[in-house]
Amino acid sequence: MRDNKRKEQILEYLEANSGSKAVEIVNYFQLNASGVFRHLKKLSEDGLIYKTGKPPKVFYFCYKKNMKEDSFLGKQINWACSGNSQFLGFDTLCSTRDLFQARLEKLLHDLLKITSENAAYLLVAIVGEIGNNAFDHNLGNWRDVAGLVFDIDLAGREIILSDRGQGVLATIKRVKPDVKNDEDALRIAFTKVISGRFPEQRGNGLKFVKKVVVENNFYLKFYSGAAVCQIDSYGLKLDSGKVIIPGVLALIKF
Amino acid sequence: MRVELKKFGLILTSRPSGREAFLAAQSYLLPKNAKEIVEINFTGVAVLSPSWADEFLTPLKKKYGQNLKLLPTNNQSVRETLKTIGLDGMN
Repeated sequence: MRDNKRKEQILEYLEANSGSKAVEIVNYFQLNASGVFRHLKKLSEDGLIYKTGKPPKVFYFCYKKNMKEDSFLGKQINWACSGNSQFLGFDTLCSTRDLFQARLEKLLHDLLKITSENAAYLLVAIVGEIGNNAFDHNLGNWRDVAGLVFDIDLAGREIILSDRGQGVLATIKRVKPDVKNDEDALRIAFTKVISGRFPEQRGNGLKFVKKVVVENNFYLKFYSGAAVCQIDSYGLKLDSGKVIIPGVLALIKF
Repeated sequence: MRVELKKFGLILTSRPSGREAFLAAQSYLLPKNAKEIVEINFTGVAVLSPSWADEFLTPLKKKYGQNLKLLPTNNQSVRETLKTIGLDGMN
């Protein structure tokens, strides 16, 4: 009984302080570390929290907090943070590029029913760029789940792409070791012609995505690491995210 | 000669498929003589993105130079992609 109460208190603490370390919980409740780890393990097994990072930098997050943000996005954020299959929508994981390509063709077919031809073509082009990037940069190097989550809410006019890859910072760092943080990495990715696939001289994809979004009144929210980038007709805005997405998560609204 | 891009697919977005298309075209389709004119027809292609185009059109430009001709199109994804990879002045 006391254990359950303590678990609820820890859960409430993580709702208010998403991304806390275990030591912070230990200090806050003045408990012994082994007890806190036991509660955290149980909460994790119950699917209420998840953790990111490796010791000694392990951060605990509460799923509920993410869910409040937006149900379609919230569910995907939870998957992107944890790789936990309970948050995967039916048939949304494209484990190979071929599967992604097949679903891209279905998306085009569906979009042509609700948007103009050119809007549909441009949307599929940017979805294709973002989705293929996941495979280009992470093939054989996924954190855990191989592939890309590709979820579409046609009624809500939203598309989500998400992966459990290495993230933009790790990719950019390979060719630009002085990049400072996740925000810096996203800025470079969307504004400079640079390819993480050294020695290839490319890297136009996300610049193309940005231009198409700005010029066609679409909206893109792009998470990677602790940063989030929002692009709309006013341009690009960078911020530190409320969550840590180890790979990438992109929300496109049209 | 004229290359009908639609024969490579309706949605042309990924690097591997662009690279494969170039290799196949080089073996079976494209003229060996770099002085011959090569026209690219985009009619029938729904989606073209910079990744695919960079793997296919950029090497064609390198090989055929001024003899590569890109035929006009109203498809916005093709036009934006050509701008992005720096080939927009050619059609």
